[in-house]
Amino acid sequence: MILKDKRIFIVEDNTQNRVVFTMTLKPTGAVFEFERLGRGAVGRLQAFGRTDLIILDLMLMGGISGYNIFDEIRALPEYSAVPIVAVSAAEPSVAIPQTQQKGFSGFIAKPIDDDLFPEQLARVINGEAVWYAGERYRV
Amino acid sequence: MTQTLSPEQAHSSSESLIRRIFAFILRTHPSIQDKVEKQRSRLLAGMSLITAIAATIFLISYITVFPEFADDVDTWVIAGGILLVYGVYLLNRARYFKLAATLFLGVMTALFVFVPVIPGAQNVWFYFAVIPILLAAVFFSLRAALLLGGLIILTIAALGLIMGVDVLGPMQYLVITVGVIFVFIRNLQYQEGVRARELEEINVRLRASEENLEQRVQERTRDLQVASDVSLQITTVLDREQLLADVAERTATAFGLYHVSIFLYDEAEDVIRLQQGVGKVGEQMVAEGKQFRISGVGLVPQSARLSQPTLSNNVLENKDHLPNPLLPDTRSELAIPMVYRGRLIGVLDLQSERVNRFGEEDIRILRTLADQIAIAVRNSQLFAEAQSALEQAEEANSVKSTFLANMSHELRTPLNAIINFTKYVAKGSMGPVNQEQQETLHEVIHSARHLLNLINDVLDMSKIEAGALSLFIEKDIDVPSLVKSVAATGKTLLEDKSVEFQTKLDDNLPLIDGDRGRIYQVLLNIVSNACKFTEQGFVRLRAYQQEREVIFAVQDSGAGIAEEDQPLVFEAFKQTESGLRQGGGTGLGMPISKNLVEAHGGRIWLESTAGTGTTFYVALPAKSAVPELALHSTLSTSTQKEAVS
Repeated sequence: MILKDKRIFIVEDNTQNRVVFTMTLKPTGAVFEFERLGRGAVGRLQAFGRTDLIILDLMLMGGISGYNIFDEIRALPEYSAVPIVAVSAAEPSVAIPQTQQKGFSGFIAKPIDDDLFPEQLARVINGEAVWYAGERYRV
Repeated sequence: MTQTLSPEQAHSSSESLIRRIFAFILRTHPSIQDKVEKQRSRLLAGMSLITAIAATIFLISYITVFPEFADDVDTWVIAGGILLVYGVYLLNRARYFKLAATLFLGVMTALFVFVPVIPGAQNVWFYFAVIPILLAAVFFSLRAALLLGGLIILTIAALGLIMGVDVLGPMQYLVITVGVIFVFIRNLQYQEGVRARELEEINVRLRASEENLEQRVQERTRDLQVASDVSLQITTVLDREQLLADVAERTATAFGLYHVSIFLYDEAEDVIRLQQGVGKVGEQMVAEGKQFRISGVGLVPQSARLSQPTLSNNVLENKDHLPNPLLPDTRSELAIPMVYRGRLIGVLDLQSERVNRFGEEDIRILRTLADQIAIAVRNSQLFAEAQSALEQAEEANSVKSTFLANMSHELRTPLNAIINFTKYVAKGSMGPVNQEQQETLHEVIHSARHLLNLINDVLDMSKIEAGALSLFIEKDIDVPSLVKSVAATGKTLLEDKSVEFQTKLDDNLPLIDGDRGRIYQVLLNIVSNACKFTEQGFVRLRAYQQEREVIFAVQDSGAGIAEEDQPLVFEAFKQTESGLRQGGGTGLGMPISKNLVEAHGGRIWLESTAGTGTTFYVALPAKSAVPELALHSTLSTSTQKEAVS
């Protein structure tokens, strides 16, 4: 229960992926909420209230980019310090440098490893940057 | 100088005394500088003195022998003459050479002309009248001799008539002498004339050749100027329209031509088409789409057909010439094919309002120019082709990269669900699963992971092929931690085999810069291959420093790779025989590894003996020797698109 009572806000448009998140995070004791569409993510986040971690998919339906949502969230004073991690199926060798440059607290490649994932999130919440390019790149 | 005199010197000193006396007698006045004048003066001095002394001796002896004639008029006249001759000598010495010479000739003339008419004298003296005539030639000139000769002849003739002396004999002789002098003079004049004419001719020729040379230099300069202008255009103007417009304009101006047009050969339609013409007329003709079939009539297609300059120096008389209503004043036309490496590029057509405007020299110059234009046109064509090919390639690349980005996203997304759902079920989170069910579910997970690896390999290779592979460079990577991490995975791969995994790390390994994930991928790929193909013995992973590189060596005691298969190992889309039999997979692991290592500025190679095993080596630059890693910053627009997934 390493994520017990941690409040996590997840922007993810793909249904199966939301199920995977649910399956992976439920046993950890985390409190999480999904935003399916990029639009209105900020409003939903504010309604969600206190947040320990935000997970962003990078490419969302309707052509909205995770990078845009990142900017919108960072523009809110109460969320400016909340760690944001990208969880994406994008090519890690390209997306990792970009998310680093943007100021993300981490990048976790899909498919996620359910054994590692909760711990990775815990590390991000504790202020550590996590750059995980997938199983084959696991170091 | 030594004072002792040898006998020869003594002899020569007595000789030099005579010489000094002669020198004194014959000394000319210092004011006479001219060499010829000086010689004449010396001659006059010698002659007058000898004559005077001889005459004096003769007179003295004569008086001595015949004292009764001492008071004779003749004697006094002769004495006066002798005195005059002495006077001549003195006058000559006193720089009055001309006066002296005139006086001398006067005395001589008087002697030989007037003495014979003295009653009782012999007319044989007339013969000696030739002496002053010849002397006049010596002292003055042939003309003077001729003049004096004429005077003497007339005088003798007159004296002969008046005094009744027979002068016919000596007259013949004198007339002949004077005639000879006259002929001689004429001959000299003729020769002088010839020489003068020759000189004039040479002058004319010289001047002409000078002018010719100057003209040729001018033409050559113009030739070079135009040619160099064109060459300059070649390097600066790659836009063909601009290039041809400039060249046509420059040529027309430089050669003072009525019209210049440039036709280009259209290979597809086998026509020669007007591409550029000078001025409004040129524009109009280009707009009209003026063109000739290669087989057509006219100088332009003819020159294209024959690959030879075709000239008509009077178009009105040339049946091959097609009169152009827009260019009514054309009289000469020269069409020069523009050929580059035996390939017809087009035709340079030049027209003049003058008949016979184009000579051989012009053709030569303009041919050079046409060749230059051909090169320029070919260059611009190649440039345009290269540019369009580049654009196409870039577009294709961009499409490919976007496709790859989408594919990588689309292929991995469902695997996220497949792998994690299956794991979830296998864990029993959705209700109890029995042993058999669990094994089946793990088989699904294993296959899905394998599929993921294949997808990753294919995507990597596609990226490498598209030139879109980028590295995520980290500074100061710790080699031991990297090796340990690879070893940990390697050991799990050997869990169900009796193969030992050995790790050997040198102390004080230098740090390296690179993409940690990619280096891990390369090492893991080699290690997992070694584990896969080794049934007994060991797999040994070593890391050591050698010169300015960190070497990773993965040695196994497996079957080894046949020598003929070794070159294929790093080649994409070519799996080795044994690899196919045993491994499955895409066979892309090693080619990708090679690309990744080389992108790091490193090297990868293998050593293997069939039966005793294989060692793969990866050499990466050690920290102090790491050059700028170029790939890190190659985030092109296409790869940026990919990142937004």
